[in-house]
Amino acid sequence: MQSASAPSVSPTSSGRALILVVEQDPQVRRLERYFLEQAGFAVEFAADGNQGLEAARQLRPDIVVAEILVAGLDGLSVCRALKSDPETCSIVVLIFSILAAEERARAAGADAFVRKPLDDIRLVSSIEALLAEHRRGRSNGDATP
Amino acid sequence: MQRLSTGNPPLDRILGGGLPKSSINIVMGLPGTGKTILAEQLAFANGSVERPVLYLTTLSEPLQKIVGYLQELTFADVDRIGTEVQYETLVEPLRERPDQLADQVASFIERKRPSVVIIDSFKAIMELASDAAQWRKTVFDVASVLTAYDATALWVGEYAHDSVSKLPEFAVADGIVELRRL
Repeated sequence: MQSASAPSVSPTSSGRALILVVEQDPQVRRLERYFLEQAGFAVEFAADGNQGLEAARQLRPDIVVAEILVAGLDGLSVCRALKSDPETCSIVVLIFSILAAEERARAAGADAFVRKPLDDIRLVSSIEALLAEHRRGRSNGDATP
Repeated sequence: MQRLSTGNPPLDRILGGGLPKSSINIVMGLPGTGKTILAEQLAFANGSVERPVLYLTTLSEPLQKIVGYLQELTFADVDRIGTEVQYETLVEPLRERPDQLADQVASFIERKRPSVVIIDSFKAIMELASDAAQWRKTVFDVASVLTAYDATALWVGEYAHDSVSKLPEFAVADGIVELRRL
């Protein structure tokens, strides 16, 4: 594996931004892990929506990347649950799905939507842009009296 | 739907502009019908440094022979080989473990980030499988890898016409191009 350069986002205690991926397809998970880790992120996985919601509440990742089509709670429901909870509403959510569902993702409160199949440059640049925007938003909020 | 040129303008017209992007396609036909030449036309029409075309050879023809003949073809710019069009062989790993095809393809995708993955000959891998059930699983697994990533796949094989109703690869393919001698 090539050495990974650190992304320009706020780091976790491990020094890397943490991504929680909610995805049930093992082949997609494999490629996501490779490309996201190579981009410098720490990556955790949940194979269904219920596990994803639980993991998000426990891990407090910098971003959740969720497929809509997962077992149990679907990705949009995971997004709605996170965004409606004051404890987790600040977690960035990116819906990454084979479904053409950008409008539904926005309506569920997602911060962005990226359509599959996996284009690693598009996915990584979308995540980096979202996290950078989130960091700027927090900085501005912190500066407000 | 976005289309990918085959590098063969008459075929592109028949296909409505080319093959659907991010699809799995079988190029079938008996030996000598032009399958490998069509695959190479597609490779040189689509390869780039950023997103190369990955040409994986198996147990049909030795890589040296394929690349040797390739240099005689006008569309093949040999200076692009190794960067925009990358040839690799699956022979040794598949001799050991033909059921590991999906893992091999995934490893190549991670390292090469290809826009197109060509496997020539796909049918030759089937002949290494221990039984029909194992082959069906192998086909499913490699199709899953190729569907997960944003790449167009071409499976080249010396399939006869009646293979379409018998082999699992035809069930998972999005498109089939059959070449015949006239």
